[in-house]
Amino acid sequence: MARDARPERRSTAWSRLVSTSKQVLRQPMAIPALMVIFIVLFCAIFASLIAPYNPIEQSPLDGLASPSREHLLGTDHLGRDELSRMIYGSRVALAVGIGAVALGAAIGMPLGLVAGYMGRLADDLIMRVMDALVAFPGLILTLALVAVFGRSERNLIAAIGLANVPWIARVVRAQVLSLREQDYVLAARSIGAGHLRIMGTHIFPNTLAPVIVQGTLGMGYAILAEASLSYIGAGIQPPTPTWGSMLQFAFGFLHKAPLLSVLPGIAIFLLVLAFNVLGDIFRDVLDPRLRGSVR
Amino acid sequence: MTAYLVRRGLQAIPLLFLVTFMSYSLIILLPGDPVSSFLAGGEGLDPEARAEMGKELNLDKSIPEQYVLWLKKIVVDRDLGKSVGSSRRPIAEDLKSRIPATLQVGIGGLLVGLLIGIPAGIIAAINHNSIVDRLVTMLSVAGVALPGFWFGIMLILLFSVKLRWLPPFGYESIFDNPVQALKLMILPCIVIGWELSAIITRQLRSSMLEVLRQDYIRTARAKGLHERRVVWLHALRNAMLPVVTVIGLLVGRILAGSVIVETVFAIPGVGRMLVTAINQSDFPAVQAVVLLVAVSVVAMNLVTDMVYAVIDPRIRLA
Repeated sequence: MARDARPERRSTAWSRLVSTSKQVLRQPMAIPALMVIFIVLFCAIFASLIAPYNPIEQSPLDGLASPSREHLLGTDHLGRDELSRMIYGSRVALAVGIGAVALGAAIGMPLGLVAGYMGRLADDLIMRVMDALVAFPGLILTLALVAVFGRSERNLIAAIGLANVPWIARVVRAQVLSLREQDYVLAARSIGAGHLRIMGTHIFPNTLAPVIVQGTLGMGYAILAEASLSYIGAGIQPPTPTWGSMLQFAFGFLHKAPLLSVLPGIAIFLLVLAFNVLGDIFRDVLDPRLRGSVR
Repeated sequence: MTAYLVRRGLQAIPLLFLVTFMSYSLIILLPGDPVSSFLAGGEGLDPEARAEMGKELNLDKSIPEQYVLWLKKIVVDRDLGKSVGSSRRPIAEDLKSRIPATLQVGIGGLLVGLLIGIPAGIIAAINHNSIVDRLVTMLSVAGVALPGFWFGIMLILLFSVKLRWLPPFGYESIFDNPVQALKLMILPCIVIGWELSAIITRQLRSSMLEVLRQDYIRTARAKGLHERRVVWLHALRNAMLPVVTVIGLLVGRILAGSVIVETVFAIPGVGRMLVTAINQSDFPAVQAVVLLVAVSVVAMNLVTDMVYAVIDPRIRLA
């Protein structure tokens, strides 16, 4: 009987995915947001194929060149092609965004699950630590961890990911609290299912919706945090091109080459905006109860 | 009421301990030898200085003991240690001299945020689902996505480089030279305020929509009150309650934003101190700023909850 139920469960999950996707795509801002994300994703994956120049190759004689046929967006103070650096910069933005959210979810989800399901001491212990983590504003926590562990892409992902943990743990816990009293969970308990089985098979899959919402919004936050840290010199170090560090260099040439200060900022803004808009859409479609909540 | 305030105050104590322990534990996380992180290059090699620093940090004791002694030194002696580097300046003095600049710009930013956010939230709510509402909502979504440092650069580019209306960066105390201070504050306060206004707008819009659906609003309209009176007198007072909570939460954002804004506009505040400390590997200063920020956030959340209880009887009676 159990064998028969499996394809049915898969088809239900598939049809739910299709109907959710349709609902998401029906929102007027979904297509523009997804387009921005796909363009950046495309640039990141195929950077070596589409970038016209090596992004770290210097040509000081061509420094601060205006946009031309050779250099469509001009060059920076060291004569590096701005377009190529923008294209390669998308890799760091997405890698940090995806890495930080994945790490935040990998730690935050089990913590929220255990806190919500076990309740009592485990809940108190985990959630008080999460409350304390929230007292450190994300950027300050990230800066402190970078100061401790050093500046590298890996450490940056870990630091931003850790700042994401309490937010994911909180939404998962809230979801688990309402799920654990549901009839189907009580039914599973009554036929002797163990805690691990109930948490893993019956509760965990139903916590994914708020995590998708929080994770999408967390992507925007992570990209913004990476850019901010790179701008103040505490992020990924040169010569790796990042949008934040490009703006840091460009600031010194604001009078001579204002365009260099404009373009990477637009890229960061559009990508963060796209993830935030998509997160809001997911929230409306998947979890309307969270509407209006402030992170 | 007093019972609620006392209960809420007591709840904050374990959180404060946890937050101070986390700030302290940064030293435990340091890879390698913590003494080297507390001493400058040459000094770090001197065995005498190393032994003295080891003693000062109580590294020979257990971690809970180290933490208690560290906390005692801060609370009782008001000693946050000394900066790494040639000056070896006491960090507490450095912080004290930098807090006014952060406060000045932070409070200015909050005022800008409220000045934009409150009218925008009201206008969006009373014109629910109209073009105005959509425009305000779009702007508030954009406000959160806007990188603060880039927005600052764009404002400098427009108002300082192109139009030459305002000085690009610098700091002046509002008490010493109010006119120059205001000129220097406009751009950084707009950067901080813009992000805050986006959050305030969203919160006020949703709580205003909630309130406007209530029976007493319908009653106020039914008895013939002017719409302006209904909105400003009856609805806004109640819709502002959740906004008060959000303002408490915004303190964290203001302090995080100060790191960016103070770097872009060369303001000698606590945020810039953190960035300088990180760039100079001045670990004790990093730890002190992190501690100050976290304790401020916990304290502000406590104050917000207490204010909320005072202005909303439903909270303390619940």
